[in-house]
Amino acid sequence: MAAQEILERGPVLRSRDEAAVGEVDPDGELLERWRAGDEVAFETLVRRHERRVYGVAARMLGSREEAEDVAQEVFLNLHRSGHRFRKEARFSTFVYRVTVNAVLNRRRSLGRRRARLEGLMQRQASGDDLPYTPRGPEDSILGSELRAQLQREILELGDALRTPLVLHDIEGLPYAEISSILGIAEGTVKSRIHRARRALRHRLGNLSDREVP
Amino acid sequence: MNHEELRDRLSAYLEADLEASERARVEEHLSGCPDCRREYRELRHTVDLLRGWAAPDPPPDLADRVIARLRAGEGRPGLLARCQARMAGIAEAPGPILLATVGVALGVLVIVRGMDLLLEVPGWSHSGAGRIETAAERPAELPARGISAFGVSPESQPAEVVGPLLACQRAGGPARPEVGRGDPCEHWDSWMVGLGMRDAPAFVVEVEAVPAPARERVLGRIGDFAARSGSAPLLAGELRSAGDPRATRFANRIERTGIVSTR
Repeated sequence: MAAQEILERGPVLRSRDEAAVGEVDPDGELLERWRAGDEVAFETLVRRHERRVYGVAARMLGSREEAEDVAQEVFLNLHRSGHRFRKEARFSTFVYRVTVNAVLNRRRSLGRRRARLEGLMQRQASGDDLPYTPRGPEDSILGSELRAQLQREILELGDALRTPLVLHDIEGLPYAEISSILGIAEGTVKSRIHRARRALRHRLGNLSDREVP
Repeated sequence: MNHEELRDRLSAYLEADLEASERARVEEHLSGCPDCRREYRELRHTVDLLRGWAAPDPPPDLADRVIARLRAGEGRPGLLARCQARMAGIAEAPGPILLATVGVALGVLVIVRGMDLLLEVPGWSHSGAGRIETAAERPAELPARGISAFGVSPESQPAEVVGPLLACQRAGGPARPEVGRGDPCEHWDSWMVGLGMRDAPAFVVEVEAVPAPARERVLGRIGDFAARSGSAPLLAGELRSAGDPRATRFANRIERTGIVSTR
């Protein structure tokens, strides 16, 4: 990239922190109905958030099977502990928090069963267990080889770096919301995301020079 | 601005998160430094890859299976959770009702908190603040919710709690690798849940003093319990490495084995 090109293109990635914290919670009405005893309202919340929960779990665990188990547990936990949710945060933030906790617990459990994890990695390497095979035009901008490599490298990051990276760069959450989810300062969130990106850039250096289909 | 200072700012530059003057300094450096331009290009490419990654589709019957489990009775709040929910609702009541109920609530709280218990297992010792770290809250808010759970005598607890716990204690404690049906410690986790652990989104544990052979087992039990309860154990050692003050403020220190602490 020429120096002039940088100056012309500039910092084109817009901040995602534009989502207003404190705006009306789109889940508020369903929550009120659920608290009043309407279980169907909670079932609607499950359908509304299943993609979000499953997506985070799949990307952080690299396995469909594990992600599905975790997603089910997350919704049972949400039902069990929904009373703890406070209105000053959006319900989706609470959902992310419970999901991240569940994923981290599962990863620790997997860590103790290293042989099983290695088996998962092997299946991912062969493409059997990746939730990232092309699924549509949007996804097809990434080549499958590059995507598989990206997934493997994300799994190699430590939890402290991987979690904010997934939440920000893949899920698109603003720094402030990630800070709330993880219980760490916003500056720490930014710092960890930057470190995670640099680590990925280093590992993906050769691949990222390639054109992808 | 040297190379490393520049590279530390590249994410902020990508996100348009720099003051105008600093952004100008970054661009000035980039325009004259091919190596840093390469790093910038690769970093940006990496972020583009991540952001262009479409979400994986969940299994088509995921929600149906969750709903079936809910309708079968899984995911029901525990007794303590239901009490807390009621108390949260009371907090929104009109003044006189609030005043009248606060006294009752405090009484209930004292009873519930009085059940906070650390089972003393022969040969094992425990110390620490006994507070559950709540990840989403500022530490300054925590002391109002956390009280020490350590050093509470089992004899001071209700008989229905003490009996099973003492039976487990006599049997050698819950840290044995296999606890099966009929075992005195079978309901160990249930007791902990009953004591409030389930409602903590996160807690801090300090395991540095646990001898290496036992540490893995202790971590295993903590992890298993956390997985079932939906809370997240935070290791004090990791927090300390990250300079996080919660490592010392809220750690439940385990000196040998057998963690139990409650808010």
